[in-house]
Amino acid sequence: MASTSTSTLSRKLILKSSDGEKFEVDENVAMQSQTIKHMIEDLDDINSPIPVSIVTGTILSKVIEYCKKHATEDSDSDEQLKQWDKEYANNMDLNTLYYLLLAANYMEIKGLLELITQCVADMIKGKSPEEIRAHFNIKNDFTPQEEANIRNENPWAFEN
Amino acid sequence: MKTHRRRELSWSELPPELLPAIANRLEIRTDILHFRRVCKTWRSSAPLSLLDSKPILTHLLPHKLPEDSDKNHTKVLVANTVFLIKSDAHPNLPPWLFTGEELFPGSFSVRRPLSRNIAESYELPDDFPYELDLSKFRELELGMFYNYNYLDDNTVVSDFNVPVLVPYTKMPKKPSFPDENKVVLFVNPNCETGCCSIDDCMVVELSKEVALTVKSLRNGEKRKVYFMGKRKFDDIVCFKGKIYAVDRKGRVCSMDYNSLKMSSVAEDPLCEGSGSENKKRLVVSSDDELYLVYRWSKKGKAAFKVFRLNEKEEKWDMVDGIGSYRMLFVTLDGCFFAAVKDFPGWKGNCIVFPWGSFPLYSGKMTLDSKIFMSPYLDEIFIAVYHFEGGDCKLVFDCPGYADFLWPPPSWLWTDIAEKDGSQAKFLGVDVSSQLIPILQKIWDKYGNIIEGHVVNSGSLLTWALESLAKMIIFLENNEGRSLDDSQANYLNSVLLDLQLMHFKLDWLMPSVEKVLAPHKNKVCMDLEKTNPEFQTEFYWMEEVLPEQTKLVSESQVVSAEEPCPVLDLLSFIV
Repeated sequence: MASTSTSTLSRKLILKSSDGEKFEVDENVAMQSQTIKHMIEDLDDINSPIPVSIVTGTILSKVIEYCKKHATEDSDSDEQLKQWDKEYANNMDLNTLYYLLLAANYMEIKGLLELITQCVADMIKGKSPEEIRAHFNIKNDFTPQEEANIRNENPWAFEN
Repeated sequence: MKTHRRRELSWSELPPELLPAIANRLEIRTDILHFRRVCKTWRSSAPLSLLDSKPILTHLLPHKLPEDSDKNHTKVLVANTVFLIKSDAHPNLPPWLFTGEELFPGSFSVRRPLSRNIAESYELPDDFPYELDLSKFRELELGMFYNYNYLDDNTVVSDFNVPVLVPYTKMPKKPSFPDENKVVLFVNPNCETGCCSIDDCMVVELSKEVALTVKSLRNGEKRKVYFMGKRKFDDIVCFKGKIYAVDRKGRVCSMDYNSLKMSSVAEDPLCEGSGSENKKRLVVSSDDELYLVYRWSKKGKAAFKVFRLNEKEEKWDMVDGIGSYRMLFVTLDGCFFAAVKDFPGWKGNCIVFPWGSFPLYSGKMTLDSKIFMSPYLDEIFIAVYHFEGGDCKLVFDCPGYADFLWPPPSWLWTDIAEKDGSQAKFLGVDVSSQLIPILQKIWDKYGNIIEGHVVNSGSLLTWALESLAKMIIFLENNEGRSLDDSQANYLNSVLLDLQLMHFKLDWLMPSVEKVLAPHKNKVCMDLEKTNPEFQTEFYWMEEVLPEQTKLVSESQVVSAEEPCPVLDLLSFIV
């Protein structure tokens, strides 16, 4: 894919995943991660690889894909960008979403974090607790007694 | 590779700081409540405060209609729902038929029973709660309807979501929602339930105009829809994913979501001349049948006719009553059936309707004036028509019925101790243990109100204390309600007896007078006049008590005609 023209002065950074994979990215792409932004501020040698310790190469490539899209300003309207986000998230399987969520959290990429949490929230909508557990592979750790107590939880408020 | 681990990955291992970020994005109450039931970590990540200002009845409403608002009031499309609330712990208590209107998302305004009017705060019990934990109750949704309400734009909402009102004199008059008007929310039937948004909705409004107004909530676009032959609409209802409408003669047509065009369902009027002057109402049953009901005057007395739509033959089939297993409730916003098994003490096959719900097209209210003519000064104007026997009565004249309606029962917000009949001591006197908290409250508030009493026997004191507590319960349960003769007599006689014993009850008098006021019973007012006289009698009674007791226990004869309070007390002791 032809990269959109960015500042010719843009520096390149090298990100290194937890499993040793290296990615060369424009500085403005990487700077969407607050974590990386802070790391380069403290860095003397900009050419040495920056470790993204808990993120694997597979996930990091997806993160970079997102950051690249959002680094190129003006090229897309808000509407188009939203559409792109939607397709991006919809193409992820559940396990990828999980690690992407961890990565977005660790790397402090606000937009990506919002996108993934919204995507997960959308999966929860309309499901029963049982269906949510099955979908996300979660064990029910309530005792039958506890479960009976919370089953009818339904607080009402009144104007009076 | 971690990412290739399949299936065994569990989302319960998600760092707890990420869960609130997900929970915060849930918009609908049930989704939040379901989230809280998944597992312990998830539960602690989604506090109940997330529910604040999240709509209870439907995530689609309330919906503001700024384009239809004037400069002082914002018009709002609101949902209102009739619930039957039962106590799990005390299944024998009569349930409460509660109508909540949700003008402010996440909070109910309490309506008067089967009425469009919101109960004023003075009409609610003093200790009516701001919040209710429904987990202890079972709520049954009987019907959900819609109406317009108006937000006063001069109302400032404070930080705590409590409206602060401007001075009353400066308040411009709130627009009204006329009795003959009705709105129906028309949701795109192709939408999956729960997934639809306000963009998938239209609101259909019936008014005294010839056409219905259909308004898209996506873009505010309005359209007029006419009945076949531009006849006048009489009622509309959402049925089988369409809007069904009936005209004044009982002809039916329906409109689908996409075309918004009326097409005929039943062309012929109801039997010629039948009920041509009477307002007709449509109601959908749980087994998906459409019914039409109207009230008519049978030799000057109220009677009802019910029809079921026979869509195949394009006509109404007249039915004989609605079945002894159910009742029909009528409100201006819509009608609903309820199962008689949920209303212990009620007889089925009846129609429960408020004043003004079946007007004549001429506007005359002859029948209503007759039905609702009553000695009661209460504003709860609701009547019941039983098909069996054909009698039409006020709910207050049907024993037990009114308990379901008004006032809101205190068991909703107070813990009632189990009736175990066990005895405990209060001030050294044997008193039924369940009454002690009430007595304790009285003593906390008013001090030792029996100081200087003139009772000698312990059992009489037991009776006196228990009667006092029971009277408080009675007063609480009957606040704002009319009493019948025997209830008023009970109250008067117990009060009189307690005063004769020199209990200090001045603090109680205002509440007693309030309850008795509508009854116009003179006894209460005469009390002071007669007091000295009775006191003399009481002293005499104390002297002769032992002798009388012996006498009565020997003969077991108590004269019922004797009006003297001595014998009342005697028979109690024996």
